[in-house]
Amino acid sequence: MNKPNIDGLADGDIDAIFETLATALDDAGPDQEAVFLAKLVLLMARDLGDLDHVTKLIDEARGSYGSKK
Amino acid sequence: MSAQVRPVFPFKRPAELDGDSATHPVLIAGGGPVGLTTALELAKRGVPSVVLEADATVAEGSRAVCFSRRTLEIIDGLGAATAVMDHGLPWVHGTSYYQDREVYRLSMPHGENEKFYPMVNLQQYTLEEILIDLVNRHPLIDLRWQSKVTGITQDEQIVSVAVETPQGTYDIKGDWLVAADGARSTIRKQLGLSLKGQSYEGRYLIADIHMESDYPTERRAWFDPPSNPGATILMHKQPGNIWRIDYQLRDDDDEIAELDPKRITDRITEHLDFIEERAAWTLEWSSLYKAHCLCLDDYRHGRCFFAGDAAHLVPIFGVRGLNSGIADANNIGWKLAAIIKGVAPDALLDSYSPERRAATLDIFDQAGKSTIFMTPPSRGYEILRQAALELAVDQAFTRPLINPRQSTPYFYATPEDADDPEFTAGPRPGDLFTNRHLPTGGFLSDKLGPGFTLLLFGGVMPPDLPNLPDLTTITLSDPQSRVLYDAEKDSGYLLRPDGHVAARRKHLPKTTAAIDDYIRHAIERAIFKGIEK
Repeated sequence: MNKPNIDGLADGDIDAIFETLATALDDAGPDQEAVFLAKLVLLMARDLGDLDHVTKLIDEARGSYGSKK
Repeated sequence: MSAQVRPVFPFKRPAELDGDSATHPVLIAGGGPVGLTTALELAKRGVPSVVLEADATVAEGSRAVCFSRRTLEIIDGLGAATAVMDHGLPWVHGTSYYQDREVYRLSMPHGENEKFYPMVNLQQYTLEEILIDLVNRHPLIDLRWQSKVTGITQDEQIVSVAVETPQGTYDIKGDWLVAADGARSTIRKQLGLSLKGQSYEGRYLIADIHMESDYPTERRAWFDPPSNPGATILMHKQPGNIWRIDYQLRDDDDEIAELDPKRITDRITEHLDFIEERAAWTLEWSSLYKAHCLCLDDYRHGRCFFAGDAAHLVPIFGVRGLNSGIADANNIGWKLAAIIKGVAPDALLDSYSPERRAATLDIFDQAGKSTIFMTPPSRGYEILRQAALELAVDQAFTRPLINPRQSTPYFYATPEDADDPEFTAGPRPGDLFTNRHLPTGGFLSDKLGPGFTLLLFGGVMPPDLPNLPDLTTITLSDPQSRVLYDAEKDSGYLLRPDGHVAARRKHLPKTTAAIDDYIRHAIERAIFKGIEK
């Protein structure tokens, strides 16, 4: 559980995550969606247990957001 | 009986108004807790001083409320701690709430070897009255009320300040000047110096109320409480049924409107209703507060040393304001005394600013983090704080973010060769000494000398050093003391006059002459090379 595993997701898992996350965001609503995502990141960071890795992922997410701009 | 009664101290005509032009060893600008502590530190070591205070009385309102263990140890060395403990409310714990749920329980380290609680709550003006009482009984301290410092001139030999009094103005000369004249320091302005750093946006309304309640003394913090949605509230108990309530103003709150006593009363009533405090209460004092991390580039300017708020403004979160000012007074006090008494060279004074400024920067780091959590400066911080608080209800891993990071003693950088690699525990050179409840009664802190102190552990005879009159030797021969200091019977610790470890050795040399050499060398290193870059 501690190490990233790109092969860990089975076929179709990403579809399930996509769906579950979209629904959860809708449930959170515009007022709470940002807090919801922040909580999710903190919980995933807890399970990842690796500061460098979390920092790298934050940079990665920031990067793709930046390129769209 | 609740409202503060401020004593009025009379102006006494000084000799300078009648032509006296003597040069005093030390002038101190400011008769607040930092100035008075400096005067007492000097007097304890036989050095006279003149304290110049603009006002005729003590501080108005509670102001600083929480005094740290370290502050109590320092003023205990000056004879003031017993009175503080008689009046103050000691505490160890704190609770933080998110909305109406508990999310963090603060527990500060406390044990049988500590003479004082980690924190004691007391109004600043009561501490001032206790210190004034001691100062008035000390023949070496000349405390002058209603004497406002308005100007300063200095050269390489002397410093002179202009003083304004009800009976006219005079100049007074000193070898050294300690500027403890507060956040709006006149001396700082006169020298053209300014505080640099960062100010935070969040504003707090701080108020004292008189209310009878048997709720225990602890720190309580509420984030986003129903009584004040979106804001942060802090509550501390003080002696005399006074409660300090600090609440955050929202960005769009108008300052003038918020300072209206009616408005303050309404907002506090909402909060007291929420926490089910039902007793009648009255508003005693209120003020507006903004967090700053500001300090001077150098706490020394020629023959003038800045201490307390004159040198640095720090956020209230973590109770470091006055506590760090008292540590400044403690640091400059022993150093000035050592050079005036001729036991150290002037170069020792060069270590004051690096040591205390480093302590300030450490406070900025710690208190800056607290401030950002208490008062998120942007939407990003606000979102993350809410996320962390929501998780903290069930999850331990985000709770350290809520820790108020209360004031702790600072570690002074010390040359590496002052340490001995054979130690694996115990206070390192630069650390504060470790206190010990002695098997014979009393505490180790009671026995530390006004100069350097040598700690021995039972296997070495106290050295005979008649040419080091400032050295106190204490032998700790019980096993638990050896554990605390990771010591063998022939180990030795040398403590500076402020209780910080100057050097330590796991096995002292075998002969008395060699031990003498070691101690002499260690003291010289501490007073010549107090600074390690």
